Formats: sequence, C-alpha cells, structure tokens
Amino acid sequence: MARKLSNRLTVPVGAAAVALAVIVIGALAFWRPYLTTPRDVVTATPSLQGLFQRNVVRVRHGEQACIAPVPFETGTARAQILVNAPRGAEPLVVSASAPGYRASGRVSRYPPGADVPVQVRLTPPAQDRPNGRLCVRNAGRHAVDLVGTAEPRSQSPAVTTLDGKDAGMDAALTLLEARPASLGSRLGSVLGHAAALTGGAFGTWLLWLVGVACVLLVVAGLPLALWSALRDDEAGAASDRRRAAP
Amino acid sequence: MLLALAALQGILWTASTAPLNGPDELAHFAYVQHLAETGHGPNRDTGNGTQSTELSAVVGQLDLYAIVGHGEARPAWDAAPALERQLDRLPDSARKDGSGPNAAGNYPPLYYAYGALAYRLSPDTSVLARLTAVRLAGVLLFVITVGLAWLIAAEVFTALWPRVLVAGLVALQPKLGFMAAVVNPDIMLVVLTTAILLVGLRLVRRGPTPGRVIGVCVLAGAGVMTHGRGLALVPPALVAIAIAWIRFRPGWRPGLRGAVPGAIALGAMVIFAVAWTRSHAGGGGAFGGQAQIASGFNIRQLATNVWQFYLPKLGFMAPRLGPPYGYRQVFIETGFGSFGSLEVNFRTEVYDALQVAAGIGWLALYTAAVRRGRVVLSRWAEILVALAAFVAMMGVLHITSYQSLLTSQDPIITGRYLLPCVALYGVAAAFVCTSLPRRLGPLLAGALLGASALLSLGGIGLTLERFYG
Repeated sequence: MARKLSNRLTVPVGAAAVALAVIVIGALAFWRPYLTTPRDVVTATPSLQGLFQRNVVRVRHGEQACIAPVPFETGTARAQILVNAPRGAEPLVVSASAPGYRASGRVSRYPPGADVPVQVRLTPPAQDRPNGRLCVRNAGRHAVDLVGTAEPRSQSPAVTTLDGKDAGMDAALTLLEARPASLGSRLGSVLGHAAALTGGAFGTWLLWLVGVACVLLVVAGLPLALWSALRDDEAGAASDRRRAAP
Repeated sequence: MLLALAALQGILWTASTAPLNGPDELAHFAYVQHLAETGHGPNRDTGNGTQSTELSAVVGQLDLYAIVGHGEARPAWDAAPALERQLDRLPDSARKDGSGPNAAGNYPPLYYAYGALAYRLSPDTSVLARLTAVRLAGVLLFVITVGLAWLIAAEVFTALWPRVLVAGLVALQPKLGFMAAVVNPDIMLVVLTTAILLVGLRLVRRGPTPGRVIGVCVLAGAGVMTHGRGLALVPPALVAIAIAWIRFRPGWRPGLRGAVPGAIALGAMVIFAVAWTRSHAGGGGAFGGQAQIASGFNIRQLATNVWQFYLPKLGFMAPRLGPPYGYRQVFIETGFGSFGSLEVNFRTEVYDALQVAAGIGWLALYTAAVRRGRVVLSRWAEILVALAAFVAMMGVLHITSYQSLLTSQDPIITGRYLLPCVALYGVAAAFVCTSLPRRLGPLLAGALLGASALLSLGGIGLTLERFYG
C-alpha cells in the first residue's frame, strides 16, 4: 500500500500537492477568519479626526453642532461621533436629515473625561440620500466637546457649524450599518464601491469575474503549471537517457 | 498562465486601491494629466496649480486626499455620479491648469509620456476612467516583467520548473502587483531593469551583436529618462558589454558597429534627462539634486551607516544617522507589504515569518553558492551582470538615503525601490531550490509559490477592505 502510494507520489504530483496544500491550509488559517469575522460596516466617513492635530468644538447647553453634507446610504443605521464630556456625560440628541428623510436618536451614557466614540441608532433612509445633514444638540446642563481636527490634510467637503456659524474645524463623524457583518457576506457591496470609483472601467460583475478567475488560477492553475513543468522535465530527462543508451 | 495570473491580479489591485491613494500617486497622475493635456511637463517649484481644477474637484469631493493615512476613513463613493456630471460641465481649461508646483515635476518624462498615451487612448474621457487607464498601462508593464523573468530563468536554468518558480514568484510578489496598479514610475524602472538583465545575460552568454549592445544601451538610457534611480541601470549595462567584449573579442570594427550607436543613444538620453530635470526643477540640480554629492558627505560615515542598516552597530562605530530604520523595514515590511499610502499592512506575525524565511533564504543562497562553487565559477559572467545590477541599485539607494539623512530625518529608501531587482529574487530562490536534493527542490518550489499566492491575494483583500469594506 505504502509502496503503491509512493510510486504514485511522483515529484511533479508532490510539488503540485505541496503548493495546493499551502494555499488551502493558509486560506483556511488566515483568510477564513478574516472573511467570516463580523466587524462594523462603514457606510461613509463624512468628517475625520486628525492624524497630527486634535481640535474640539465646544457645544454648550442648548447649542447645536451640524455637519453637512453627509451622505446617508440605505444601510446607514448608526452615527458615530467622537465626544469628550469633561464634567460628566450629558444627554445628546442626534438628528439626521435630508430631502425626504428624517431620523433622530438620543444618547446619554458614555464615559466622561476622555475622547470616546459615541454611537446613536438612526432609522435608515428608504433610498440613498447624498446631501444630508447630521446635527448634535446638547440637551444637558454642561458643555460637551465634539472632537475632530482642523489640520488641512484631513479636511473633507463636510463643514461643521455651531448654531449656524462655521466652527473652524471638522468634528469626526462615521456612519455605520445596523449590525456588524463579515467581509465575506458583503463582498458584492465592497466590489460595488470599488467599481464606482473606476469611472465605469469595471462593473461589479466584471470584478467578480476577475476575482473568481484569479482565485481559480491560483488554486488550480499554479499547482498545475508546476506539475506540468516538472512532468515535461522528467519526460525530457527520460528521453535524453534513452538517446544516450547504447 | 502566469501572464494571465499577473494580468488578473493587476486588475484586482487597480480596483482595490482607491484612486490616487498609491504612494505619491496624486503628484504622478497630475504630471501625466498635464503632459497629456498640454504637451508640457509640470514644474517642481512654480506654476498655476499643483493639480488641475478637474483633479482638485475629484480629490476634494471624493475625499481622496483626506483619507490618506486614515485607516478608518473611506472614499466618498456615493459622490462619484454627481461629481462626474459636475466635471462634464467644466471647460477644457480645467484639465490644463496643473502646471505646478508638482513634487514629481523634476522627474524625467518617459513614464509620464507612456502614461499620457494611455490617458489619451482611454475610450472614456472621465478623469476616473483615465486614471484607471493609466493604472492599467502599469499592469501591462507588470505582465511584461513576468514574461521577461521567465526568459531570464530560461537563460539560467535548463529545466522548466525553475522558470515556473521564477516567473511565479515575480507574478505573485505582492508589492510589485500593488505598485504596478498605481500611477508611479517605479513599475517602468522594474520592467527596464528586468529587460536589461535579460539582454545583459544574452550578451555575456551569446556574444555582443549590434542589436544586443544597442538594446542594452537604449534600455539603460530609458531608465535614466524614467527616474533618477534609473542611473543605477547604467553600470549593469556597461558591465555586460565589457564582459561580452572580453569573452567574445568581436574585433574593433564589428564591435564598434553596436557600441558607437549604443553609446550615442545612451549619451543622448542621459543629456536629455539631465536637461529636462534641470529645466523643470526651478533652479535645482538634475534629478532634483539627487545626482549630486551633498556637502558634508563622508565616505566613512556612509560605510558606517550602510553597515548599521543591515547589522548591529560595532563598538567603534558612531551611531547611524536618522531614525531606527533598516533591513527589516525595507526588505521585509515595505518590500512585501505596506500598501495604499503605507497604511495597509499585514499583521506583525506575517512580517516576522517573512523575516525568518528571508534569513533562511540568504543563508541557503550562501550555502548553495559555496557548495556549487564550480558551477558558480563557470557562470561568473552571468553572476557579475546580476551583481552589477543589484549592487548599483543598492549603491544608489544607500547614497541617496545617506545624503538625505545628512539634512533630515527621512531615510527615503523604501521597499518598493528594491522591486527593479525582483527577477533576481526569483532566480536566487530557484537557484536554492535547484541546489537541493532532486525530490526536495520542487517541493520547496511548490511551498514558495503557495505562500506567495497567499500573500499576494491576501494583500489585495486587505487593500479592498481598507478602502471599500
């Protein structure tokens, strides 16, 4: 039995099998968890925090800070802002609006005294709303800081205002889907986003096709190419030996 | 099959990296656009705009510049349709007003002229489609590089399977695939260096025909016309010609038939590159001053710096200039990973494993070379050409890095600058595999190809998730 197996396990087959095994085992060990682990799904980052510079817009009792324009995709169900409440967590009312869309939420429990991401649930819009606005009203007694940046390299088109006046910096805002999801379960939308920024050069379906073809070439083509080359080498060597024999 | 794999990967890399988020891609594409639209290159220090009005609108409204370095941020893909409509209403002049200052303005024009051709040939004239076309032109150079690597392997190895290994390792080098799919002259340097290696090997193995001599000179000249680092292509070209001359002694008259036109072509291209880079550098030197010796240059200090780049400091040495930065960061981390604008990375354990594998690889290469000393000596000519290419490239990189560290904390040198010698990496791996016992070599080759495929597709996945996930 062992001899039979050994006879079948020629060098070409062995090399191709090793290549395939490394790919399959590696994919199961590294790619599978990466593709299946749920994580927050970002639908937009209209306004960023700084890489090198931290700025705040101080929102006092009754004041309202707004960020616009903000795109609300159909999947958007959470807004995340970066908040620092020096004198204790104050209730914040977050409202999202766009032509044909309104939603709001309230948050009052978050750790004070540090920059913390605070999430508010929103009702998702029925359709994509590209030109919306997200406002944060301080419904508490003490001031709360919205954290962001004024550094030029992190400026986005969205502008932050405080009671209608330019705040002079951007308050960080991230929009998220309702629930975390794995990368594997939403590959279609990920490829759709990628296709949207190729100027029509690639459609989502084409990226799917290329991706599948590429994986197939790696999984099947690569071991096959090695096997084929080794087999041809062995055949060539055998032929040389026959020619050299008296 | 390997060419198809390279092409498909290139397309995936093109789509997975957000527009203008490759290393310095905004400056490179602004150069391509200005050249394509006006026939003139931008200037390094002067001009009416760092990029055109059209490109500024794209960068601003799609958040393409703001997200650089922000791993948590995404481009504004929702804004693309409205932006396209807005750009359609812009006058032609909105594409032509990016004459500088452009950080890449003092680079030689060959790659940008190639990119401008793709820009003009793009069937869709929207700026995002044209950017994609220029990126795909880089992918074409990547595919050619894989083909050239196969031909190089065919010069070195008689068996077929090492050729599969060499071309496969090149096709699956993740950083190469990434760099091919962004707008950057590095990919042209890669294809030119690989071509020089091939023609150089043929020169020293088959003799100095006029075609080969002129070819190697034109390729070296094209390297100089592509980037300042292209100066490193001249030494291997000259070494190959010199060895071929010594080996085959073609005689003066037949020899000069190739050497004279080759020298004229090389000289003309060097003069053109120097003149172009000087005239676009706003009063600076050729190639942005990088081809000059900086004040404070000290050969002993350079040697100390180079030693400490690879090895621990010895007692009598002064500390290395600049930040703690060396072999691991260049050969491993940014040589195999660091996609996007350096913010997309494999996990640290992956880099640790790569470093261990690379260490074993260097040791195995040394052992194989010693054990197969006779074979190595009999192939001295090919080895000298390969060494000339590698040493010249590393020499240019270390001297440039040292000169930068004399006046700043920026070591400049990064992993993508090693890619021109990617074919040598494949050949070295194949040499080690062919030096192992008959059954073991192909098995190791299979393992190397499998691991490279994992890295390459893994890099694409990480990048896709970073920008669009």
